[in-house]
Amino acid sequence: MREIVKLSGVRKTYKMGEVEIHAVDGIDFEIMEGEFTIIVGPSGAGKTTVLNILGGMDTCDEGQVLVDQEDIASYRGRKLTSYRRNDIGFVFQFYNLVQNLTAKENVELATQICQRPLDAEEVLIRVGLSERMDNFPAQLSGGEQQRVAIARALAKNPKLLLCDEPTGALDYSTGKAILKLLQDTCRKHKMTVIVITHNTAIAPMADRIIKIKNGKVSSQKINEHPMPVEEIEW
Amino acid sequence: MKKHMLIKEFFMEVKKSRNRFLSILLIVLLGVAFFAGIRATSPDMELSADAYFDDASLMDIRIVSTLGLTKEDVDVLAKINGVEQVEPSYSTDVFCTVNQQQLILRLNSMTESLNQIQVTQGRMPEQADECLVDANFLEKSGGLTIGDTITVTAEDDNLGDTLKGDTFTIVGVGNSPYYLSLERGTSTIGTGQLSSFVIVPKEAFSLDVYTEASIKVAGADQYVCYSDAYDDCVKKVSDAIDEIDEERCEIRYATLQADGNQQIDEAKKKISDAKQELTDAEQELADGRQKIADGWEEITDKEQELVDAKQTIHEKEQDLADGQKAINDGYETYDQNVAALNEQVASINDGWAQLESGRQELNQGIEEYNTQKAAFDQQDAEWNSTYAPQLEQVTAALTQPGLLAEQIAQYKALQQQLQAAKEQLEAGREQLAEAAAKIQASQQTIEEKSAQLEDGAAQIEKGKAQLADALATLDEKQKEINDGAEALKDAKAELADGEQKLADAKVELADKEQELNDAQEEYDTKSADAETEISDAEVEITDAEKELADLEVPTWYVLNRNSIQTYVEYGQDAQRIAAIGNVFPVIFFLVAALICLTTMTRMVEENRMQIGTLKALGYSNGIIASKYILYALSATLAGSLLGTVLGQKLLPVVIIKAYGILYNNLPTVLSPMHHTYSILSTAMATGCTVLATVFACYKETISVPAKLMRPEAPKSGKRILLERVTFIWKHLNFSMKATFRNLFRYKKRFFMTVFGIGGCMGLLLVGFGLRDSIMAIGDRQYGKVCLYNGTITIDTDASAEDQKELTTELAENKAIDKSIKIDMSTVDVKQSTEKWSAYLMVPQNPEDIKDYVTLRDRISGDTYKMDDSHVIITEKLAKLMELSVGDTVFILDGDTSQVEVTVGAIVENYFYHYIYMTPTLYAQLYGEQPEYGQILFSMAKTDEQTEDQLRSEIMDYPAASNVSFVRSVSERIANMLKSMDSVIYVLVISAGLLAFVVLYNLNNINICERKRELATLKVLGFYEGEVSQYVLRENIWLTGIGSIFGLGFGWLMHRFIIITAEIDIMMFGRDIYLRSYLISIALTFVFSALVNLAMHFKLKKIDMVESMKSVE
Repeated sequence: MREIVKLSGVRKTYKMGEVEIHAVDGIDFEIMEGEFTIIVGPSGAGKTTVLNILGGMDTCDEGQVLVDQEDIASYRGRKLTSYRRNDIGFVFQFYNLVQNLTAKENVELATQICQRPLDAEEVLIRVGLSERMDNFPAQLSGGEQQRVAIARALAKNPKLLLCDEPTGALDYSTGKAILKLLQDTCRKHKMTVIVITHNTAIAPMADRIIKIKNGKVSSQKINEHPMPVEEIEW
Repeated sequence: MKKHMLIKEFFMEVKKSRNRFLSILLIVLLGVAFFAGIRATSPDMELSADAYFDDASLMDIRIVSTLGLTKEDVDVLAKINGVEQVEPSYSTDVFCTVNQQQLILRLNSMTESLNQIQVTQGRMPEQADECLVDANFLEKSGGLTIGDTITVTAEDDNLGDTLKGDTFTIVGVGNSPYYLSLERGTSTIGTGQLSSFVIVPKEAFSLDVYTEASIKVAGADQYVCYSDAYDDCVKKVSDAIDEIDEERCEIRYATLQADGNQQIDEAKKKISDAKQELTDAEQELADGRQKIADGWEEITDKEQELVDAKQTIHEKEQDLADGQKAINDGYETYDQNVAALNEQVASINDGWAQLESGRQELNQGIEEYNTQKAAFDQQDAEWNSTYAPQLEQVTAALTQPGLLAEQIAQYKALQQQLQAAKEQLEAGREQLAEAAAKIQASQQTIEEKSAQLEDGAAQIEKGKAQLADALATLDEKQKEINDGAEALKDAKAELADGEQKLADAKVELADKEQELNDAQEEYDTKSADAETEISDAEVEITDAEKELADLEVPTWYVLNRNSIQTYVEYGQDAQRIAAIGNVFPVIFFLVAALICLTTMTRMVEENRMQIGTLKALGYSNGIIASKYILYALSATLAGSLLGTVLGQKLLPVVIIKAYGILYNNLPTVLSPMHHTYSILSTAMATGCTVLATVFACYKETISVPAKLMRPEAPKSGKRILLERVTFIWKHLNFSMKATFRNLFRYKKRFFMTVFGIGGCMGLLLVGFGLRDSIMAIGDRQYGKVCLYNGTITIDTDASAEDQKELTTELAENKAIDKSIKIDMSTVDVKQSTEKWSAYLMVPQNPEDIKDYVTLRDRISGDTYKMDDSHVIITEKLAKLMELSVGDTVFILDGDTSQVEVTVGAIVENYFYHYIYMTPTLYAQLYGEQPEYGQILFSMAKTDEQTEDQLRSEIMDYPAASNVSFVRSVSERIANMLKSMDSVIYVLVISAGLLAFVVLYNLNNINICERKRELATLKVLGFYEGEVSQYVLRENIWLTGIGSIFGLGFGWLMHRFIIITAEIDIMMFGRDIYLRSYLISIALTFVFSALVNLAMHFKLKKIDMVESMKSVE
């Protein structure tokens, strides 16, 4: 097992008028390949900023962000985009599917641009949408839409699958099903999955739990015995 | 307080969304400016013209009489109700040759207050030999300036009938309100093409009646010309004039008839006098001749007389010679007789001795005898007293000289008678002697002897007497002969005199004869002249009589301003602009309204949350909506106000200035604000936008706040029609599929963009297309249709030899490729009541015309040949007259007659109208052979230098009166094109603005609506370019579709504008060149690309964090 992500001394300061907000104030953690990681913390703790930095959507002011031995903290512009394009799969809270494209096309939207894509249909079958490939998002339920979103992220065959509150807009059971899917993806396909959530209840299902508070890592632990999703309740 | 907050919020909103505010303002400005501006152009054109006309006091009514107007006519006109002023004037058309070309000038007499000339240079003429010329004249004359003189000639050399002098000094240059454009109309003389006007003082004319009168109608200047009110005002007066004109015409006719008759009578009298003079002269000559003949005869008589007299003299001489000889003989005889008598005297003396013896006896006998002798003596005394003097008288008379033979004979007879009487007396004496003898017988011897002696003595006495008598007679005769010789001598002298006189008379007569011959000769020549003159005069009189008989009652042409060509054309152009104004701006307006509607709807939608919040806070719908309505209202109102001002101040000026190339004589352009258009367009613009806003607000405000607070469900995806065409859809790559779906996903945006881009493309196409259409006149007319390079006008009065020389030169001149003779004249063609002018072209060799003019169908390109039963007419003429092949065209021949001929073909042509006819057909229709007065020629090389050289070479030939080149005409068209450029700039700029506003606005909305989607794409790892492509590909497609729509739309608009905008003598090209399509498309894409570029930067700014946000 090798280290796929390593953050050290990452800082990010936003200037809101005259006030400086230290959204991320020196974060260090590392994640091993094929791990299911949950980053948990309350609203405003800086977890989204961490995700943005890790996902290549934002840059940090200080520190190192090593992804597969590459320091992406120094990436800017096109290089950063290429990083997002090839190494990151992103699952949004609100799915962010293109309404005008069918499920399959939404997956293809991602596969057409990356270097080593998986077959869109296969991925959709894998996420359990073999019957709904040609449906438009509006014709799909929230869970199904999130599956499409996951399929879209997976189809890129990324190094990291980043999920921002993937169950945030879903009901309890659907949320569970999505978490199961993510966990299964991690286990079966050795995918490194990082889920960001404020819901501490789901933390036990992860291999690694990173807690963030006030822009700092408050605790980081390896869960030797992750719980199956079915057993988690909240 | 809440209101205050809302107002503050409103201003914040405006500030925050100033791009949107400005885009509404701009599109409304554009729409309103175009709407109000182009609408206002037509009335502004009319106003500008009206201002000029009023300023120059252009006449409202002009009266032209076929037989002139008298002072009385003018006085009568002045009294008509509504006539403010009448100003009579003279006018005549003349030729003027300048710069080697013959121009037709219209000489007008100066007017005091009406039809004022705008003097641009110099001054008005003051002297009868000064003139002011048309501004275009100096240009045409090529180098004349103020101070130079021009000489004019009349068509029939009767210039003196009209003008006092023929030379005028140019003292000024000016413009006439009669002519707004460069066009000067037609003339009845020469080629019929009037080239300039010339103003001269009234004194320059020698006419005794005015040719026309201009009338100013009271109050007409209050109305704008071209308006119905103006027309009505003028019509009232012209109707009133119509009422009196017949009467005036009758009066004029009567006067002219009387004058004419009087003149004819006078002329006739003059002719008869002249004839009488001739006859008298002839008579005199005849008399002279008679006299001379008589003289000769007399001379002959006299000669004869002289010959006779000579003969007589000769005879007399002979007679005299004979008489002399006889006298000489007589004297000889007398001498012999004297000798014999002397012998007898001797014998008697012997007897006397014997007698003495016998004397006794005798005494007795003597006594008796004495008695008897006494008786006898008585008788003898009687004789002596009575007859002897008589005899003496006679004898004396005979001696008188110069007696005629007759008289001599008479006298001689009388002498003889008297002698006879004397002899009788002698006989008595003998009887007495016998009686004595008888006495003596009784005495016997003595008596006897005495008797015998007595007898002997008596006998001697007697012999002596006889001898004396004979001598006397001889002497008398000698005297007579002498007298005769004397007389003969006189006669001879007389004869010599006579001969001398006769010789003199002969000389004199010969002189007289010579004189007579001279006179005859003079008479002969003079009478021939006189006879020619008389016969001419007679012909003239016959003509005059015929003319007088033909003299129709004159007609007054009561003409209003509509008789002025440029006035009408200008009015028509204003109407055309009005027609364009009815269509063009509507497009802008429509686009503007749609843009406002979309923008405001979007704005309201974007503000859902705020509306919901305000509603939740308890604000009424009205107050919430008022913000958006106010927003829309202020943007639209500001745009409208700016638009109305900019549009009405700028557009009419630009358009009128562009027209100014045609109507160069419009001094000022007025562009007042037309409140109707201002209010109308502002009301329409604000109405549309506000209504759209109200509608959008209504939709939102009826919702409950809770619903408004929730994000609006995104527009769901849908399959599009194209997906059903699987074989295409399958082959499309993924991004194309997405693009197509997106295109049709936002239908409102789709149609609006297509409409906007289409409008932009259409405008560009119209602009460039108009340019092409005008260029076509030059390109096609002078590149494809008219193949000849120039025209030579032949002086048809030149001798055949001169004309032949010119023809030879044309064949030999190297610059000339080929040439053809042609009869090219201006004719009028008529269709119902309308008339058009066209060139009637009759080429000498119709089969060769193809080398000079292409007779072909514009669309199919089929070429036509001329034939002897049809004419070929040009397209625009056919269109104006609504003629098609096989129809009959009426060509006017003079004022009264016309010829009819069938149209055989209609051919492409862009400038002027032409009718092509073969000489055979011409002869058949007009009954005379065409007169080939022009030569068309083509050149191998056409440049200014070659042309100038050729012109001077040709003009050296007396038969050539003018040379003109086609190139100058095409240059004029090129100038016209320059005026189009400003129109094109306007169109391109407005097209660009339209494209920009539409695309920018719609894209803005599009990007705002899809911000999340685009942010997601960025998160997915789309490069900047790919994100832009994703959106802008749609724009490119929309631009493409819009362009295709614009092609059709622009093509239609172009066609519409061309057909409405073109003037009668021109046909614009109907086609838009491929280049223009390409430029229009390229420009449309450039505009689109500019917008896309702007959008690209906007897209770049989209934050990926947007993707994290929940739907607003």
